[in-house]
Amino acid sequence: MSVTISTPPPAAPPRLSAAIKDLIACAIAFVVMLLAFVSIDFIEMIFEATRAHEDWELDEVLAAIPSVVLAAAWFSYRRWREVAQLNRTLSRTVSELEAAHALRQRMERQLRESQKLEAMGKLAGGLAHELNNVLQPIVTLAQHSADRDDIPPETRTKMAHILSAASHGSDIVRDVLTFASGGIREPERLDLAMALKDIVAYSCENLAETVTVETRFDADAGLVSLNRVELTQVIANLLSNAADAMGHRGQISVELDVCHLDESIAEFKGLAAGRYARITVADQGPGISPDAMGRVFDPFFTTKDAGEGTGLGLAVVHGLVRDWGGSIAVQSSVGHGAAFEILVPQLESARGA
Amino acid sequence: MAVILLADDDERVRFALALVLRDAGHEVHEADYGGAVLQSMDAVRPDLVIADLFMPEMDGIELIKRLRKTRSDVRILAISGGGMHNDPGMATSLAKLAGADRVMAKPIENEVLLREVAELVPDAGGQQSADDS
Repeated sequence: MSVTISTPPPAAPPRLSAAIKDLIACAIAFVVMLLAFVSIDFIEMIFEATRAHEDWELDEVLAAIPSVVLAAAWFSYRRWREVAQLNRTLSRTVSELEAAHALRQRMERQLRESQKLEAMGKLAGGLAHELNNVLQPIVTLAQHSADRDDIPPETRTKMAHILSAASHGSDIVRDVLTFASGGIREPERLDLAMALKDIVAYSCENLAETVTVETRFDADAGLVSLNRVELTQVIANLLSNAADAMGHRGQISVELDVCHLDESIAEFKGLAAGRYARITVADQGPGISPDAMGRVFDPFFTTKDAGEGTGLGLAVVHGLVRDWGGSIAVQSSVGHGAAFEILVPQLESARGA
Repeated sequence: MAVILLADDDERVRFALALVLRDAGHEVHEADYGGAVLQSMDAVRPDLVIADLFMPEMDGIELIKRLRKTRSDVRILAISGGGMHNDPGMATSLAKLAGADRVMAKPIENEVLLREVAELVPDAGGQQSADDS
């Protein structure tokens, strides 16, 4: 992976020619006036040559002094304008350099993050392959033994536990493989509101009856480019996590609307400016602690009890959403639930389609 | 009963799958690498080859390609632990392109394995315990 970071070109050097011209003009005016002031004869000689025998009075020469003062004031004003202009240019250049530096730091951080995830994905893929081969005889032989009619009940119970553990191991491996292969599937043009309606209905079937899901979809969310299987995986994962967080009792809300990101917000989120479909999945659970907030998308990070979570669900979700060209963020405060917000670039609005 | 040639480089996997298949009434021959499958094809004349996709010397993809050239009638069930291509979907696609009739991801449940075998070799019968409901 290579990332090219361009910095803005340096501001053009301030032009000095205007100042030099002004200085020369003022100098000439000053010399002329100074000569006139100290040598009336010289001025008279000039005026006699040009104004044909008109008398020259000292008062008239003294009246020229304000001209010198005015010329100096004008010169100072021009220089002050230039200095102010230079200051503005300098400030803008500093701001641009600071922004470029911040962007570079953020991109380097993202690059390190993606390299870390890529390396972990490769490792996970290799491990998954080995583990599946280890699990195969465990699953096969435990099932084979459990299916026999002549085994004692105690042995049957033990076999059931072996199968249950192997099944959980299989779940972990499946998640690992999904994580390792994120973003491979082909995207398709989806009407997001319609697709989400089906997917949420489908995903709700796997939730406890004590969990209700409230939906509010903006039909103008329009078309997006992503894979339906991946979208199902993302939504099912968020709903499952939300239900787990609430102890499988309470209400989850799934909302879909449209938002427009201007340059500054888009840059902050690492996205391009433009219109995005926004999916928000919010629960009424205990919320996420500040310590955990920064790590919820890290692979193998889980707050669930041992044996209940693989710690890969949200890492997979994060990887898929990034592959769509979107972003995912979480907002939460302890005691007030958690809301996951997904932004997906909009192809076109439903009305415009 | 189907005649099955089971190829997997992991002896424990072969032992377990062969046990289930034999208990279901199938005749199972084992091979620990792709070349052994090709060598024993004429002697065994299997109805079905179950081949792991990742084996040393000759992997399952190459084995399936060669099998298709010499024995177009044999049914092929590819099995895979996934992961080696960093994408189980890719391995599945490659196996299907090479000519596998079915591709299954390990670990495979016994009931599912027997159902697949029954569907791939319907004329062979066997004591299938599969529940198709």
